[in-house]
Amino acid sequence: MDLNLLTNQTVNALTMGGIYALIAVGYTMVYGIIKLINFAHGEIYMMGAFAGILLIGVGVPLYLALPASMVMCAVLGIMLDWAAYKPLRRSPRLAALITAIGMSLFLQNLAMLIWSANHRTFPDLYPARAVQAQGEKAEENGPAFLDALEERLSMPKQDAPAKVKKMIREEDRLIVEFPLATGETETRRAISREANALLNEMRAENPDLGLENPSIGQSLRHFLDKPAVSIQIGKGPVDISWKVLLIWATTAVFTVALEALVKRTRVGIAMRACSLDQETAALMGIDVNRIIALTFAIGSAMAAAAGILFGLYLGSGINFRMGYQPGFLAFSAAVLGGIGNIRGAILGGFIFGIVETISRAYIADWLEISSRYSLAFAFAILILVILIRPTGILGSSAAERA
Amino acid sequence: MEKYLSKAPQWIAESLRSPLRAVFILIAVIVALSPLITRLPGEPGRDYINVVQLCVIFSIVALGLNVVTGLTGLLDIGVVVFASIGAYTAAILYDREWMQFPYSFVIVLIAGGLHAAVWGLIRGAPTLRLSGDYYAIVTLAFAEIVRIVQRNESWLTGGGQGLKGYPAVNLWGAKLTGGEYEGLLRSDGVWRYDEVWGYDGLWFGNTTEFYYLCLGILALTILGIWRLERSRTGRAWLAIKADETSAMSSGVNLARYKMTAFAISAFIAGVGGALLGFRNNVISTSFFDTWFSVIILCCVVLGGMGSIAGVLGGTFIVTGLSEALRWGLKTLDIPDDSRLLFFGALLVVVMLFRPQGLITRSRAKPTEIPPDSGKNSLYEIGGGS
Repeated sequence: MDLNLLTNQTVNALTMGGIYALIAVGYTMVYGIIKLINFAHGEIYMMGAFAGILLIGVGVPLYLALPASMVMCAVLGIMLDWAAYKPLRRSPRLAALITAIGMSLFLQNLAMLIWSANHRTFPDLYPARAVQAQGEKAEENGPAFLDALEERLSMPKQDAPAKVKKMIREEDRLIVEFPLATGETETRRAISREANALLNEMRAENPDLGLENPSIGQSLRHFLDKPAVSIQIGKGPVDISWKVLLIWATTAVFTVALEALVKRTRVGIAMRACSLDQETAALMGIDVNRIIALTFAIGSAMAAAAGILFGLYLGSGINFRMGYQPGFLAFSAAVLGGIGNIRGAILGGFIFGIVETISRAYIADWLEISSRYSLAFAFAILILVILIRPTGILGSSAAERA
Repeated sequence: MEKYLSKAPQWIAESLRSPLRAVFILIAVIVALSPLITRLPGEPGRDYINVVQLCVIFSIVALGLNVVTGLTGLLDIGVVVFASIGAYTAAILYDREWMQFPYSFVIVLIAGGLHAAVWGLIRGAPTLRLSGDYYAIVTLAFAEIVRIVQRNESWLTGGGQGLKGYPAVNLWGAKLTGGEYEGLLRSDGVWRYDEVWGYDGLWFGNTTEFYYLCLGILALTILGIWRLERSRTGRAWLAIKADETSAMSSGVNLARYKMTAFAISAFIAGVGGALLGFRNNVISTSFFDTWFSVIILCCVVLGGMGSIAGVLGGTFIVTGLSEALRWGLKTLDIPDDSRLLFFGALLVVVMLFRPQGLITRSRAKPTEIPPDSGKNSLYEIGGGS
C-alpha cells in the first residue's frame, strides 16, 4: 500500500469531514428543535461561500470575512425561519417540508440570477501569480528571460502592464501581483501574451534558446498557502498547508464552543428544553420562537463557515448548485450520528468525509468500478445504519424513532 | 361496470350541484378534447398540448406516489427510482428485434411497471419497520444510489448522455411517437430547467393517438385506485396511515398491506415513467434526478394528499403554474431564468395559506379529527390547521 497516498487521503478526509460536520450541526439542531428536515440548509452553505467570495474579492482580510459572512448567513437563516417555517409551526410537518423545498429552489435560483450559472473560483488570498521559466535550458537562459519579462511588463503600454500592480523578482521566478478588480484570468492572459511575444523576439536572436512557454502558477506567497508541516512518508513528502490546519482549528473551535453553549449556558438549556417539549418550555417562561430563531442563526453561521472553508480548501467548484450534494451528505451524517445530537452530527460528518475519500481512492479501484460510486457507498452505509440502528450511533430513545 | 354506468347520470347530476366537482368535470372535458385545440394554427396550440400531455403523464406518476404517501402515510422522496426503472426497462425492451409485434407496446409498458414493482418490493422489504422521517431518508438515499448506478453503467443506460434515439412506437399499426429527436437535454447532460416542462413547442413527434393512450392509462389508474381505496386493502392502508399500532391490533397485517402498497405504487409510477420516456424520446439521469421526486411530491402534497382529485389538481397546478409563469414573465419582459425563483416562492406562499393542501380528502372531515392531530399524524394533511 502506498503510504504517501494514504496520508494525503487522510488529510483530505479529515478536512472534508470537518466541513461536513459544520453543515451537519445545523441540520441536527434544527431537526432536534422543530423536527424539520431543513432542505434549504445546503443553500445557506452555498450563500456563505458566495459571501466569502464577495468579501475577500473586495479585499476584506480572511479573519474579518469569515465572521462577516457567518453573520450575514445567520440573518439569512433567521429570515428563512421567519418567512417559511414560523407560520407553519402548528401545521402538519409535511407543509413545512414543502416550503423548505420551495425556499431551496428560491435561494438556488436567486444565486443563479445574481452570480450566473458558471462555476467560480475562490479569490486568491494573495492575488499574484508566479512565472517560472521552463524548457531544456531553463537554468541557463531562464534568468535573462525573466528579467526581460519584468522590464517588459513594467513598461507603460496600452493594456497589459497597467493591470500589473507590483512585481517581485525572486531567484528562479517572477511574482506578478495584480489588483483585485482586474482578476486573475486577465492578468494571466496578459502575462502569457507578453511572454510569448518576448520568447519570439529572443528566439529570433538566439535560435538555440531552449525555453518553452513559462509556467504561470500559484505564488504561495500567502502564509496560508505555504506548507506548515511536511512529513516524509513513502515516496515523497506530504505537505499539510496552514490552510488545512486553519480548517481543522476552525472546525474544532466551533464544535467545542457549540457543545459548551448547548451544555453549559442558559440559552443552551432553553434549547434543549424546547427540543424536548415546546409547550412545557413555553410554560417555564422560555420564548420558544426566539430560541428557534437562535437555532437557525447558529446553524446557518456554521454552514457559512463551512462554505468559506470549502472555498478556501478547494478553491473552485463554487456555483449555485454546490449546496445540494454536501447538504445531502451532511444531513446523512446527522442521521448517522443520531439526529438531534450535536456530537453525533460531528462524528457523522467525519465518518462521511472518511468514507467518501476512502471509497473514492481505494474501494472503487478494488472493485474495478468508477470512482463516482463513492457517493453510493456513503448512502449505502446510511441505509444500513438506519435499518440496523435507526437512532444513529450516538442517539438514544430508540422506541419512538424506530 | 354496468353498476357504475347505470349510476352515472345521477352522479353527474349530483356533481353539478357541487362547484368543485363541476370544475373538475369541466377540466376533464377540456383535457379530453385537448388534441382538437392543437388543430389551431400557430405556437400556442402546440405549447398547450405539450403541457397538458405532460400533466397527464405526471398525474399517473403522482397517483402512484399517492398510494404510498397519501393513502398509507409513508413519506416517499424517491419515486424517481420507479419512474426511471420503468422508463429504461420499457425503452430497452422495446428496442429488441423479438419485441416487434402489433401489441408489443402494451407488453413493454407492463414489463416496465412490473420491473419497477420488483424494486418497490426490494426497497420495501427491509424498511417495513421504519416510519416517518427515517423511511423518507431511506427512499431519498436509495434514489441517489439508483441514480448513480444508472449514470455510471452507460453500456445499458447511456449514462449522463441518456438513452436517445427511441424506436418509433407502433400499436396495432397506429403510429404513436417517433419524430425527430429535438433534444430535451443538452449534449453535456445538464438538465435545462427551461425545457423540462416540454417547452420550445416540441411535440416530440407524438401523435393524438399517443395522447389518448396516456389519457386512457390515466383513466384506468384513477379507476383502479378509486376501487382500491374502497376495498379492504384501501381501508387497511388508511388504518396504517392513521396509526400503525392500532391498525396492527385490529388485525391488519402490516407487512402484507405495506408490501402491496409498495408494489402497486411502484407499478403505476413505472408505467408513468415509461410513458414519459416515450414522450420525451430520451431518458437520462439528468431528467430523472432527485428534483423529479421532489416535484412529484409537491404535486401530491400541494393538491391535498390522499384524494385522487387533490393529486390531479395538484399536478395540473404545479405543472401549469410553471408554464403560466413562463408566459407571465415573457409578457413582463423578465428574463426566463427567474422562473424557478418565482416557482419556489409560489410554492412557499401556497403552503403558507393552505398548509393542508388545496383540496382535502373528503373522508377526513375536520370534525372527525381530534384537535391534537397535528402531533400524532405527522403526514395527515387533511387534519391539523
